[in-house]
Amino acid sequence: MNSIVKESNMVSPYFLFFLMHSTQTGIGVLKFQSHIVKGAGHDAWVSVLAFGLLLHIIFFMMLYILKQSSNGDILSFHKDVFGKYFGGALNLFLAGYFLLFSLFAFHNYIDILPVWVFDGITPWEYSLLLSVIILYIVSGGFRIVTAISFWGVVIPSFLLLSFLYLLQYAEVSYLQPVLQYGMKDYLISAKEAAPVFLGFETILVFYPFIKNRETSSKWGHIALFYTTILYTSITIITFLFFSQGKLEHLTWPTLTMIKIITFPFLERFEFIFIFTWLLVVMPVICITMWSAIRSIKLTIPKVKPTYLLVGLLVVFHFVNVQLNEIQYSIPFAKIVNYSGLIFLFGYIPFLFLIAVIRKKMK
Amino acid sequence: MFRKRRRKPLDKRKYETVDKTVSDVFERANKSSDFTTISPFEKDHPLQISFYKTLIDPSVLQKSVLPFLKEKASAIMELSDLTNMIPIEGIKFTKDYLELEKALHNGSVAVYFKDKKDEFALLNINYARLGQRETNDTQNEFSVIGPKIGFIEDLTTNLHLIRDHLSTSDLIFEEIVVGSRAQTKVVIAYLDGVTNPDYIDTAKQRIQELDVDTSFDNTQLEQLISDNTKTPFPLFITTERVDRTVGSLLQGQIVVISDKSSYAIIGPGTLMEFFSNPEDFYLPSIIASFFKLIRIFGMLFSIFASAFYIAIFTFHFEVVPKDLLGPIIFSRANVPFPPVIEVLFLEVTIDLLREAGARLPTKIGQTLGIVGGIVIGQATVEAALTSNILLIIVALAALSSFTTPIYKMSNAVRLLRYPFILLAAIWGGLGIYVGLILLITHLSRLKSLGVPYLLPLYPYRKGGVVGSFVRPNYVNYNKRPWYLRPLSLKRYFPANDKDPDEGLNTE
Repeated sequence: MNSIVKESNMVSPYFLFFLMHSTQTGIGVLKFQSHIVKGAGHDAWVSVLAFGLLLHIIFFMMLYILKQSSNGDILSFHKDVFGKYFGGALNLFLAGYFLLFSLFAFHNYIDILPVWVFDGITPWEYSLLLSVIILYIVSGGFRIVTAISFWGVVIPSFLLLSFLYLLQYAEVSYLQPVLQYGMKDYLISAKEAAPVFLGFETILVFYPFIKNRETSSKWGHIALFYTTILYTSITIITFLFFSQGKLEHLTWPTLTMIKIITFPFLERFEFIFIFTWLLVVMPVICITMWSAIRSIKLTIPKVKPTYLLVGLLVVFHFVNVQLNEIQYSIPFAKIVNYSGLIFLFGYIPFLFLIAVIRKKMK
Repeated sequence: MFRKRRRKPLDKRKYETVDKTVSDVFERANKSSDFTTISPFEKDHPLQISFYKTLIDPSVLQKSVLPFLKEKASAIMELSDLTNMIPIEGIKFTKDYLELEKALHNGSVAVYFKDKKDEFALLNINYARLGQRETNDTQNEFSVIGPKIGFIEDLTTNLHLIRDHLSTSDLIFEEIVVGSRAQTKVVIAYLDGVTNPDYIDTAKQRIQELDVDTSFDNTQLEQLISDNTKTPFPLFITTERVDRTVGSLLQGQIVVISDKSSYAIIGPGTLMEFFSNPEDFYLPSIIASFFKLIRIFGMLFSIFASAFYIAIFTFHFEVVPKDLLGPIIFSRANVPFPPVIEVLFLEVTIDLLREAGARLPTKIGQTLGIVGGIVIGQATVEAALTSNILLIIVALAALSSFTTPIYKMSNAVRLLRYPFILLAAIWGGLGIYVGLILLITHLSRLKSLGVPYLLPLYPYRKGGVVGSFVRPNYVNYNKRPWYLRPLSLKRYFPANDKDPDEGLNTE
């Protein structure tokens, strides 16, 4: 298949912001606060901030790797370095990782619906419904995926206003004293905070679709920084709102917090929040799905992408219907979290080293 | 979706009954009773004239053709003598039977020698205005202030109107003939040096490649050259207003006008443009912006209102606050149906009323308002078929769908609410959001003449977003929208406020 991207399929550089930011936000934002307090307690926001800033280094490494590859994506880098077969196998591994990530986001959203909104509708209905949207979006190609990631950032932005409403209940003393924990506690918090930041590694696959690649990387950094600031503020607002003892027992701190908002015509604002979150989750599922399909397509050229998409959605559907108990979701979350951490902090630096050595040898 | 459809190769054969010779032409024309051949002279004179009497202007024939012919009939030895004899401009001589046939259909009179049918003099005396309406005020796109001139079903008049409003030599008209049976003239108009040539080429290519027997109206032509024919959304703006047409020419869009059609189509169209109205440009910008926002709100309300009603009262009644729940329960207590039946009943009623209103003669139409509004509305509530509150919501939604200025778009808005109603009935709020995502994806996929339909919102273009929701001030808005990629951007140099130095700083 042609691995060179046509000009007409490319998108403007600023879309990199929306693409990267939207893959990072997901269901995790609704519940990460109660996980991160396990380590550094009320100081955990420091870990969130530090972790977010650390990602800029990883992003820099990714850009360096991409620059050394022949087609500007990790797929061609794998083939350059490891040869056709082993490189192809690595590409398929990568596709597997993205698919896992996609399935995880999908599965998570289906998890939240019966808990908060409906209890009468069975999971297969949601799963089928969302599969239809994913099919429609992803079959439209990268430009449509970009469109959904754009609207998936713009439309839910109005939800951020609701956090301002919460400030009137803030209790500043919950944050004091500052910086009293040990290094190890902060590390534990950072590890727990990692899942919400994952997802932007899809740039390794879609980067050739961005116009003016040399100057566009600033949008990627802006996206990472914006995500970091957003998460840190949400963390701080949550810590100001709940006491530590309470927070440990909450599964969905953000939603519990939002519940306090009421309007004269609307009693439960979190309904709007959960439904609008569909727009936040959709880009994650679609971009990772698209990246996985592209990885497979460029490795095994005989596969027709549309068939592949339909096949994968059928698999997703069955996994979502069969494995919707809590005993599956917790290990699933762990697998995604650890594989993401290994990928970002093990595999990317490893490839970075290879890229540096290759550059030196030339 | 899964398989690429194979496109059939275009059939080269045109119209089945093609004349081969001159006598074929006359023979077939003679079958029609309105085709006349006369010999206006003494019996042995060889000159004859033939014409369709339904197409020519009889007074011209009587006053300027026949008298001169009769006067000097004996002097005519050759057809070319006619040029000096008859005071009509543009006498053509032809030997081609195809040209002869075409000219006869355009209202020409053919003059020829009876025994030598190989050369013809063609005198064009057609009566183009016959049967055209005289009034040309806008019928369907109304504005309170501003010009009220609209197009009529005649190409020459329409072109005259545009040329008259925009008298510059940059305005170019390019004519293309469409249709293999009835040959309709279609004109592409654009501003040279402003309009992006890509649009002109795309439109021209699409119109030239058309293979249809006849094009009835511009609105049909619009569907034939549309980028996506499976969408309820109009991809081109259809307008009958001259000022709107001229305005979009100045913006750098192209306009397609065709004969026998009172609508001009403007392309490339973008979604937000359908909610703007020429009147916006005649009112002060603050007031115009307010009305434009009302229209956009009306569109959203019209699509989502009844869907939210269903979603809330089928699944999420807990979102209704305690104080509001009282009146709602009171109004719905006697209704035996689930919300979705209730809503569908009223929505279909409103659409029936609307369709009946559009089909009825104007004089009977007034009774419809009484029947629909008062009898049906009041009676359904009293019979407890629907709740009062729903009646208000549905009526408001219908009202707000009529605020959209372009008829085709307001139809699309009306249609869109049904999928949302069904989705809301099955999956509640989730269904509405699923519908919203599908709608956004669909809109992002659409293109008009190769330009994304959602411009300038997606892909986001700086400076265009404000202009799509409000009507910017003329002082700040002196450039053409650059998302349309015009060749020249600056439109004019605005005058500043006439009395700027007043206030604290100048005292």
